[in-house]
Amino acid sequence: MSTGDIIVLAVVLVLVAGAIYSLVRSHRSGKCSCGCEDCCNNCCSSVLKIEDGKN
Amino acid sequence: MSMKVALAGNPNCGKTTLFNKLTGASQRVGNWPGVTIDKKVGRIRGTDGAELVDTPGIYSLSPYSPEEIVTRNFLLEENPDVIINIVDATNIERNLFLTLQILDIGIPTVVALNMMDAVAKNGGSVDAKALSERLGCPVVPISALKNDGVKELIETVIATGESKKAPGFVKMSDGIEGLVAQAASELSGKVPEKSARWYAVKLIENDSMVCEKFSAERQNLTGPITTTENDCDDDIDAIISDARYNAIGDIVDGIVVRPDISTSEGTFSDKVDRIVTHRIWGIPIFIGVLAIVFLGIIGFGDIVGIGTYLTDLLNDYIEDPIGTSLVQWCIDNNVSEPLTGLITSALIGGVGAVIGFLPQMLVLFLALCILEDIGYMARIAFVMDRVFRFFGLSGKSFIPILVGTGCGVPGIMATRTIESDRDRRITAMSVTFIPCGAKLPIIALIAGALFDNNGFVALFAYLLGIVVILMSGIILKKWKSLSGEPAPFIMELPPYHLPSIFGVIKGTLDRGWAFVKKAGTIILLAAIVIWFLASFDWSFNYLGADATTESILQSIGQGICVIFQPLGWGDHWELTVGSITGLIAKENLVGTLGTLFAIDDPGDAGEEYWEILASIVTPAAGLAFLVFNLLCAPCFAAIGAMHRELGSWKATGLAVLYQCVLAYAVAAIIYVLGSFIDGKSPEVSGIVMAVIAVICLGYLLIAKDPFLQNRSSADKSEGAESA
Repeated sequence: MSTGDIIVLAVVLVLVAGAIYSLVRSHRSGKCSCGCEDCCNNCCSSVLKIEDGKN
Repeated sequence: MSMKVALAGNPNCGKTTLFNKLTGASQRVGNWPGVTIDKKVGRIRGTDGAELVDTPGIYSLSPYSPEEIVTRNFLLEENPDVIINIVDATNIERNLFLTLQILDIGIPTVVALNMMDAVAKNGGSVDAKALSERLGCPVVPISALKNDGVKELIETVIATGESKKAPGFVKMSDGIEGLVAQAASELSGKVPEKSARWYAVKLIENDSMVCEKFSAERQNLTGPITTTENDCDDDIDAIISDARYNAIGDIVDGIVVRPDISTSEGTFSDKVDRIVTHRIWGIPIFIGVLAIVFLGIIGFGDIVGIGTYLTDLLNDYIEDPIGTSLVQWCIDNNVSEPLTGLITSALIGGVGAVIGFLPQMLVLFLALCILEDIGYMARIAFVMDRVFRFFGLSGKSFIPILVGTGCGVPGIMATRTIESDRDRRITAMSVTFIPCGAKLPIIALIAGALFDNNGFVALFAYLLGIVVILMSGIILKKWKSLSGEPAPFIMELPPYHLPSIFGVIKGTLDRGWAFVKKAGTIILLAAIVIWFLASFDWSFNYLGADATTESILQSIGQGICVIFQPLGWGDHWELTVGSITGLIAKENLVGTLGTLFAIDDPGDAGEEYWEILASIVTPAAGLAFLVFNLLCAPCFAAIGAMHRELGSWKATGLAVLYQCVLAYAVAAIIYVLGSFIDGKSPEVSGIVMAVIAVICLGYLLIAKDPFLQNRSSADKSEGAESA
């Protein structure tokens, strides 16, 4: 395996981990997993909590 | 313990704007009623953690629709410390109708007199101090949009909450007050003391929920109520409404100066509305506005739309230097063939294909946000009411459809504003027929690849969505559980105003960010999976550039694609796979095709693979492909939202089946018609399917509603019984 392969694999793994983390985090915070910010209150049957303007 | 503050008021009076100002949040604000359909919670800035709850707009505390029940239940059951009753000062009498009912609850209340800037601009005024004395609670003039008076409002709310001083109440006529006293006596000890007056009035008013709870007490009041009804020759709820409006007349007398507007000509909004909501010209104007938007963004003939121009620039950039540099970097660093394929196909081909449409999306979102913000979208709902009513739906169904142009999930949730359960279910089942933001890349792809960037393809997609929704109104009303007359539609048209630059830019960027976020998460993951399945065979051998002929995905897709033979694209399993992956997110269809075509021709993005698409399907088959994907089952998130609104998986499954079958039938008809118009011979199976589709749809549309007569008879007999 060349250094190039290792770099590509590492980048892809980071991207995949980031994508999964983002989806899980959105789901847990009650936002819709479809990524749409419009529909974030209720998609997970919970009311959106906003603390000091931070969604 | 921190203070709990409720924000309540009429629809479209600025609650969410004030909520955002008070909390620093960025909840979506819309210039039409029904934007807020569930309560939202935030903390008021500059206070000791006071909690603010934004509630859906209501006209009275006798709710009809689910979102109105949310507000009433919150005010009555969750016992807030203070209620901020936001009142639209430009429509003060109608807004005070709710205020009088809120005061009856007995919770400390502050009236926020909003839109005072608009009143002053038109030469009117409201004496807030005198109004406060007459209502028996603090009144603070504000302009939520301009942030005027918001600081004073916070100080007053905190002081009122700390004092725990119950507001006064406004007396109605002596006769009604006598009834209220009797009802309060009946309810003594059975309801919270501070809210006794509210329960008493609602008991007299025949409020269904209160009467159900206190049926014996209501029975005891039947005599005096009947006497009052006979004396006034009217129903008791109408008598109390009249009494409230008489009281409101006394309250505003001498303290409200109305703007000097000529009654013959009306306001600027009235003059514009005479044209854009005209009974004949209203709909052509709406179609014209849509045409201008789409032709301006996508283009027509030799004219390149602004969105297309910017998309071309971005696609070129993704291809070169980004794509070519990455490929060169892979060569220079001895990256293996499969990993090079992963970068060129999944990342550049798949994700790049979706991101390439971002400029077009942003320009379209900007146009839609401006139309929303100036107040035109609300007029469209009004104009469409006549058409919808003719086809058995209420104009109120158009509000969720407008919301659904952004995303189907909030569109489906917005059906909660519809009072009629039947209309709500029909709308929830058909709202995703209107193209959402996620479907726009598919429309742009087909318009770009097969129709030379013709904006009329987008206009066709939106109008087809509306037509299919209307068809669904007719067809679904023939189901026993969904039959019935459409509910009446009453909607307040907000005055036109210049778009708020901040609001429009924010709305556009929010939607654009959601698009990018989806590309970086769901689309990225799906592109990698698609690349893997399309690049390896069942023995997990890497197949290289010829992969798509022997891969895992090819064998699966090939087995399914025969279903789409009658639609003209059954020979190309890539399109079938794209339609299926589109269920994850509709943009994924574009990403999937980008990945699959890029495996054949690595490094290509944007227009390069449009050429491949154009070479494998005819324009008619491409249009059928577009129509099927626009109308068939929505993405999983929207299916989940549909399940929440329909209440069961059985109903959801039937709704999805209905959508898929209808999509298939309409796509078959369009494929065959399109082929004949284009001078090409359609597939024989397509002609057979199109004939069957025309016969079935024709029957379902023309056949008499078998349940309408029964229901009307049932309604009459119920009326006779109650009489």
